[in-house]
Amino acid sequence: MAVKYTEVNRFTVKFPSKSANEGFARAAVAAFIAQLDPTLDELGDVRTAVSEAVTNAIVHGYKDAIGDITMTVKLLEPDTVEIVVADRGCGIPDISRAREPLFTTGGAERSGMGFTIMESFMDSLRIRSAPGKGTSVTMRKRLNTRRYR
Amino acid sequence: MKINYTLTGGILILKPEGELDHHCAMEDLGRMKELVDVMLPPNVLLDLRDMPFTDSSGIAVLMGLYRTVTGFGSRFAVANTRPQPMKVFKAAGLDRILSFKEEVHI
Ligand SMILES: Nc1ncnc2c1ncn2[C@@H]1O[C@H](COP(=O)(O)OP(=O)(O)OP(=O)(O)O)[C@@H](O)[C@H]1O
Ligand SMILES: [Mg+2]
Repeated sequence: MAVKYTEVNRFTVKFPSKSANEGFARAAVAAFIAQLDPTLDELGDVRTAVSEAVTNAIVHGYKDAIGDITMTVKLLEPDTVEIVVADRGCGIPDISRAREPLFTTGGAERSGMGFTIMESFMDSLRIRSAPGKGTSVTMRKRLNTRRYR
Repeated sequence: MKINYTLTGGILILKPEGELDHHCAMEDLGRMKELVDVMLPPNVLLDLRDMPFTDSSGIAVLMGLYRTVTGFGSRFAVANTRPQPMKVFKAAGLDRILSFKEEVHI
């Protein structure tokens, strides 16, 4: 049976696509989900996934420009974190190709592992994108909160 | 990141300190390559005990450093990798390409 999620808390931040904000995005999410008392491993997984999504918006979405990135983090009952990272950049022409491990348009500085890492470190990954319009990445992860351990 | 380093007995130990991401990755890789280029040590050990976090940007850094070091005919190993970075490197299969050592005390 599908789990029904209800929203308990949320925040949204908007910041320009400057690489200094990668660390800020990770720290903001970590501070917010502390409410769910995640384990160190869970915190590491979520911080990694956020870093991948935000870096993609900076590096690929706004390749030659600075634009706004919006990040929304929701705490859902039961014990789930949902993160949406959205840009209004160049978009992805072929999403299933982009999701393949090692696929990259980023050259030697990139390894084509970002989506693979988001997928394996989180429980679910949904990508919506349209060329010329932008990309939004939605990820969820259920946390094994300490209350139940 | 801060790149600490020591050269002892033909081993250059590189010890980056802090979180590794796209913001600092290429600059850090450049600085580490430069140290290798200047010292030309027979062995390079990348000691990651002071790096609590990396994202996929670290994959390209490790591979870039590995190629530089082995390109000079020197040996390259990684030591004291913490759990989160190790999970990222394993996701990319780096544990099958590079030599990861544990508990190297220097
Ligand atoms: N926000 C985005 N806007 C436009 N294109 C994107 C976006 N995110 C990803 N892509 C495209 O999808 C490809 C795969 O992304 P992925 O994160 O898996 O790998 P990468 O960013 O190329 O390398 P890595 O994440 O390992 O550094 C990118 O190379 C890029 O072409
Ligand atoms: Mg990426």
